[in-house]
Amino acid sequence: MSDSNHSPDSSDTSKTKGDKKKAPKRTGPFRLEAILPLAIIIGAVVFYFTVLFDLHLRKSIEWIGYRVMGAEVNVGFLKTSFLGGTFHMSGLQLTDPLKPSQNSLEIGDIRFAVSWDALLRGKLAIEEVAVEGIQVSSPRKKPGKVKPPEPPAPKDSKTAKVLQEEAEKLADRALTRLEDTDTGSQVFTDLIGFLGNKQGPADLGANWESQIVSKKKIKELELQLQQNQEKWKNLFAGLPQQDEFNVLQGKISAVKTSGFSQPQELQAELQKVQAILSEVDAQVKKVQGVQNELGTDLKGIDQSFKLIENQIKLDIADLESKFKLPKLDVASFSKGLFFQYLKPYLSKFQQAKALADKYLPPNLKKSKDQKTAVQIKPHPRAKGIVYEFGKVNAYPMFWVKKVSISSKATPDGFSANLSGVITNIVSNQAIIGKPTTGKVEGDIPSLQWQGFKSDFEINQLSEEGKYIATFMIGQYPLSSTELVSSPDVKIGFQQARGGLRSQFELTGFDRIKYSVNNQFDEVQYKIDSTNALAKEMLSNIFSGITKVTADVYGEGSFPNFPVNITSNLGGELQKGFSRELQKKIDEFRKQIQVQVNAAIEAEKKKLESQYLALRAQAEGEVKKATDQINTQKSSAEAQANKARKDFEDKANQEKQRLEAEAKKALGAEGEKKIEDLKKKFGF
Amino acid sequence: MSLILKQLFAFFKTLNSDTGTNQLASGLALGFVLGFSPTLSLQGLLVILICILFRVQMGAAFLSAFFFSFVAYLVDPAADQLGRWVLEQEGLRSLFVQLANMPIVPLTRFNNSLVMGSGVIGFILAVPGFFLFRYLIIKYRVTVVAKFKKSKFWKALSATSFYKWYVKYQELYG
Repeated sequence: MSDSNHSPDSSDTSKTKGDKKKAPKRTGPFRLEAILPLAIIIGAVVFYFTVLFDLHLRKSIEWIGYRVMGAEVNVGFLKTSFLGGTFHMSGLQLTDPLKPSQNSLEIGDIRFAVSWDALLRGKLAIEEVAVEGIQVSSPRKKPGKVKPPEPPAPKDSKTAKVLQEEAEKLADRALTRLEDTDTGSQVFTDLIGFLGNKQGPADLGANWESQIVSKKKIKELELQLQQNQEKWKNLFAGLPQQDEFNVLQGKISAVKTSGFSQPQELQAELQKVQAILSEVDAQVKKVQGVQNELGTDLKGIDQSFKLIENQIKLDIADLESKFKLPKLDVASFSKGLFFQYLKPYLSKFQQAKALADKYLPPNLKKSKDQKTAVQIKPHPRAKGIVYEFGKVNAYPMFWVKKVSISSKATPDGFSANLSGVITNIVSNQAIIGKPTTGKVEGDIPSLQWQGFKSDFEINQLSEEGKYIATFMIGQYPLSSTELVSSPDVKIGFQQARGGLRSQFELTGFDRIKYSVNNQFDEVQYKIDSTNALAKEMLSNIFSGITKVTADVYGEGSFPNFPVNITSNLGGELQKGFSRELQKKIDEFRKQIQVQVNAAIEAEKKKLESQYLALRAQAEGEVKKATDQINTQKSSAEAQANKARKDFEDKANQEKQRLEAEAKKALGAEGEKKIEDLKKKFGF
Repeated sequence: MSLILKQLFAFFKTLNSDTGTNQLASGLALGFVLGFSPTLSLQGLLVILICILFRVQMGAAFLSAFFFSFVAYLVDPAADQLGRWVLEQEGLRSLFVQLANMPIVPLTRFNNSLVMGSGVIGFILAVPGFFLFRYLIIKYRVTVVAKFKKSKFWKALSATSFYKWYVKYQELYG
């Protein structure tokens, strides 16, 4: 193509042969010569998408599937339509890498149509996706190709080491958590052991007394008392003695209480009394100090006695555990019966929890109190900021309105009669205002499962987000299922009909609540034990129980939440064993208690009497000193009061005498003048 | 690739000739718009279609796009700010809502601040750019080309038989 205007014009015959310059051909604004090449290019593109694209897409899916799955992937048929926006694929087979002659998954048909209305708006919306003919472990016409395994990484490779360590950590964490909670079959082992145990509390062993901790504590307390005794002796030596009291008494007696001629004399005596009282107060403070210290020491000793009582109980419990007395409580029986049965599922659950803990994005796990760390983000200028101009009923970025799933059981392989619907798989639920829901139900004849039903809801319309899933199997068969398997006892279901209902709820990727309820009907048990008595007891108890329930539930924060197991069998077993065994267990306990008490009673009593005597003595000393001090104080105060009273009496007498003399001196004239004054003032 | 090279040679040839001023100027202006548009965007495809269907000097357009893409990269911070200002205008909000929910228009990614800012700069400056490029081309021909043709070097070159063979070749094969 050329847009040059220098095109030769052959019609210009007026120019001479020598004139080599030709007049440029006039052309319009449109490049008409480009239309043909453009049409060819468009035609080629249309041809490719019409004829070759489907084949290439099919081959791409098979190639990518092989690379990802590590096994051959086959697509029987694939057709797309650009103008219709449709996709149809059938005969998808994914080879099982472990069994190349069968498929791990086979899907009969996948169809969907994309909405052009949404595509033209830059959004992807699919009205309905149909997935039909799902089969698992179906046979293949010929074995599929399996990718050879990758060569092992060199042992000293840093990446391999890190991966190996991580894998071991995950496994350890899963197993540790299981082992921490694994009190499963131990309750039955203890029970059988107890029944078969001919030993009694008398067979505690030769040196069992020396292992009792309370005995050691009594010895320690005895030593402490001796130390306190020495200490108190020194304290009492510091108390005021009789000589001091006598000196004080002497001073009090020397205080003058009568014959004062001047107020100054009285004042001087009162000051003497004040000094004596100050001395007495000092003695009182000393006695109080000793009293306080004694009180603290006595409280400490009382506390030590209480600790010894508690330790005796612990020692008894410790000795009981040596004989492995079985726990006859409902929780232990329930756990014991069903823990083994649930262990494989729990270990997978624990591994999933550990993986979630490891790979879950941090901001999904954080608690609300946690402050988010400041992250280094790329400068937004590089990509710009996208503004959302949405409106109600607009298309979200991605939206599959409905997915229909169906499967029909076939004689070969593992398949099911299932039908299900998943609605509103969407990138932003807030735009459409609906949560994502799904429901699948049907039967699985190959497993004899009837009434299979599963539904879920993913709701992100609220700030927290809520994920709910339920799973139910109306009826499924159980045969030869072991519940408890230990060298001493084996308990299991020979045959039973089971039903399962479970619910799982996760709120805000933080709080989880779940329950799994199992019910078993028409149960036939299989019981065996090395102890004939235990076998008879277990058979008698279980024969009366035809319906069994087992519930697993828990609630807490993800990923650490509890696993609780309860069962009606636990209650029945507890009742049954309690009747037979509880008396024996109580008697056993009593005997242990008697033996322990016998070992320490004498020493304990000696210590107690020693303590009481010491206490009485100490308190007596303090009381004696206190009483004497108070007596001195009262005596001093009495002397002071006496002196004051004497002086006041004398003062009053003198006053009266002076008044009488003054009256006499004034005489009759004076009395008349007094009378006149009285009349004048109206008295 | 050969098509692009051919167009580039045609650009230099036309630039140094007396004709094709409007085609050159429009090519440069459209290349300016292309340089400021994101790669593989709808508006970019539209500009390329215009270049193909109209008599626009494609070599000029590609060269201009190449050059102005670097200018756009340097101007990105200002374009981002401008785009944000435009998209945050309350008066235009209802228009943007309409556009975002119409067919085709969302494919331009106009709701991205960088695309909006660069697009505003590109489209607004394309029109005065056309006139500016036209003026510069004429000026170039009058000053640079004319002076070069008067130079001794050119006179000596044009007198060589190699140059005469070249002119003959151009006449015969364009």
